[in-house]
Amino acid sequence: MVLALPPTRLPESAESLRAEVRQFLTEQDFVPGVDTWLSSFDPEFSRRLGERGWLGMTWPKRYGGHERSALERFVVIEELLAAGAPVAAHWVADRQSAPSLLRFGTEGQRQKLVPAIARGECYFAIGMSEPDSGSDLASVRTKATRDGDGWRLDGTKVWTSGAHHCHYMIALCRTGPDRHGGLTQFVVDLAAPGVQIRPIELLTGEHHFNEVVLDNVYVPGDQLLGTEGDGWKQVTSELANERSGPERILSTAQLLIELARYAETARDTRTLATLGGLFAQMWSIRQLSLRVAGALDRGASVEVEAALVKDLGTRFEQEVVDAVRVVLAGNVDPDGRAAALLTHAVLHSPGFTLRGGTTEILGVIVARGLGL
Amino acid sequence: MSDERELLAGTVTELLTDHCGSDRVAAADGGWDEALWGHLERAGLTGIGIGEEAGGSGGDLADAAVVARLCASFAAPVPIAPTLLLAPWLRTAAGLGHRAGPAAVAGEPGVTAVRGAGGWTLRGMARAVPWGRCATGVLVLVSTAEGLALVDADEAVVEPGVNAAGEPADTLRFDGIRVPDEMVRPVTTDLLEELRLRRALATTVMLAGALDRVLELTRRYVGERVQFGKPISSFQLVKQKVAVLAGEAAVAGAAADAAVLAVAEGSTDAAPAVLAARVRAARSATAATAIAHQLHGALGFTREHRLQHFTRRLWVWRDEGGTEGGFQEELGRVLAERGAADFWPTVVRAGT
Repeated sequence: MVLALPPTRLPESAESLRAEVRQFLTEQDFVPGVDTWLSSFDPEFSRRLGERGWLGMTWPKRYGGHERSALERFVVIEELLAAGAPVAAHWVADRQSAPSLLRFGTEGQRQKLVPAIARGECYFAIGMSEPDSGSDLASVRTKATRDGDGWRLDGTKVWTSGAHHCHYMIALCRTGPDRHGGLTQFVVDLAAPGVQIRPIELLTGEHHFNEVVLDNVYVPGDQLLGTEGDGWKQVTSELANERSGPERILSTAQLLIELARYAETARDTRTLATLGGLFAQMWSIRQLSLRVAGALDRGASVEVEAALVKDLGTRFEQEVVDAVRVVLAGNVDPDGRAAALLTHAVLHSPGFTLRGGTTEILGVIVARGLGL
Repeated sequence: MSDERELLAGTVTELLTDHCGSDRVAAADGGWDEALWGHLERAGLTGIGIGEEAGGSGGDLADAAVVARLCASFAAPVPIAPTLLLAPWLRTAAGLGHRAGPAAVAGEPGVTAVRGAGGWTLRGMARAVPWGRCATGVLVLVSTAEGLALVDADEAVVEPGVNAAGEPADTLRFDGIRVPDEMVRPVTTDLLEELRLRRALATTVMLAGALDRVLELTRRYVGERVQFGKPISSFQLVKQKVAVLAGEAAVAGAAADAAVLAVAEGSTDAAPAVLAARVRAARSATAATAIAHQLHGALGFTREHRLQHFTRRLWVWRDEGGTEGGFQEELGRVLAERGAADFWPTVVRAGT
């Protein structure tokens, strides 16, 4: 067998934790949505999660974390996503920025930023893609030049989700000519002089994406993240670890639950078979995702498996949209919840297989892992 | 996998590597490989999952599934699925004792039994019984005047049949066959339902095993086949297709393992787990065989190439014991009855 991770079992503590999250969710006032980790930005909600100890779950207590296992975090975030809760504000900071700070950052950076992230008060944007650098991320041109003890940044980052609400962005910049060895990450204060944030509207007209122009922005030396020249290594480990989580399966869960609601009364063959087929997909891919989560928890390297889960999961998220459309569109109240979720999901679905590594890039990673 | 289970997997792999090469599989087409069965039996592998006190080799359902999945990954022409995954459970459930030797299960009640002095007389036939001719004992569901019963039959008249994978799928005729009282046990219709799910589980495990091999064969082939002066694996389109194939195999494998665990632990959500895994594995079979054949080109479309040992099995197994559409609908009905509020909780409870 080429890929053989053992099955993962959730810890005993998962059940009571899951019940707590479900109870919490019933007490919250939000409109459940699809793709909420991109589009439902709600700082109040994020702060309440912080109060409950559901941000920074796996981090050391001395940085405001809760020293719980990655599998316990898996349980919390899958419950939030399945409920369509508004988790966009803290999403990037909790999933990847703070873990990067903890792994590569200085003691000062950790103390300054990580506890605020764990409280749900400090939000981060991803400064990777540029107008001419998408899948070929190593070709980024945003330049960092030394200026005394600090650095000057010049360049443009794009598709920067939530930058207009966030406090910081971790920017991947060029500090030398070497394709991979000349890259360095910086923590950029988005309120710093010279930072301009301009909306890039989604095809719906919604404002989540931004263009972040860095025009001679001064970044103090102590905001370099990790080691100069290690940016590529840092960024790829960041990507591998964020690929296989529940958000790659559950972006359209609320729409699927609407189909289940429709099936309660419409028990025709097509509806039932569609519901059963989509459940089979969701359940099976979640089992694979759990294995990867278990392996990550043990500290194993799972780049290939994580890429597989993301590919299967994000294509499934799109499949939900299309399969539910075939059954529901035109058969439900046009002003009702199901119609609204379906419309939103159709318009958001192209992004599922693009963000965090396109389907095609994932294919390359998997093929390489298989020795091709 | 536990260390013991890994040891078991190693033993099975070694035995199959020695005794189940593609020449053996080809030679057994349309029949079965009794010599291979003998090797498996002597190694105690045909009694895995059956308690030692009952005459088996010990281990649990998950261990039995490891053996079955590996056999599928070698296209082993032996009745391992009914012998390890169906018959032992069915015997226990019906209160019949363990019986060594290759097993067959005739699940659709097309046979009747009438009680007479000192025993029962059977009448009727069961069609397309997998491995029917190989079995030393056939478990037959029969209708009686009092309801359903399970019969442990020593004999039947075999009319050989073969499925599209070259595996025995025989018609068994029971007209006039007499069985003693102790070989007949009354059973409920619930058991019939459970048997259907067990078959679905067994099929899922076998599909996962064959998928493992199809991925391996394809991965190797695209690295070896040279066109335009380079291995075809250097073409982006080929890489992408192999990556999709890998995902199909991986997700079917994970689903099969999780379904086995759900059943082994007697989960109250075992039914949705098994149905989901069965549906997903069938879907993988369809996607994976298409990609594997496309990438193997004309060579893989020949009798000579080993690929067909696995793809023909995948094509047959995906339709065994029920249709993919039927399983989807059945699963959908379970979910519709539970209601939308229980949809996500079911995903979780039916998992590990």
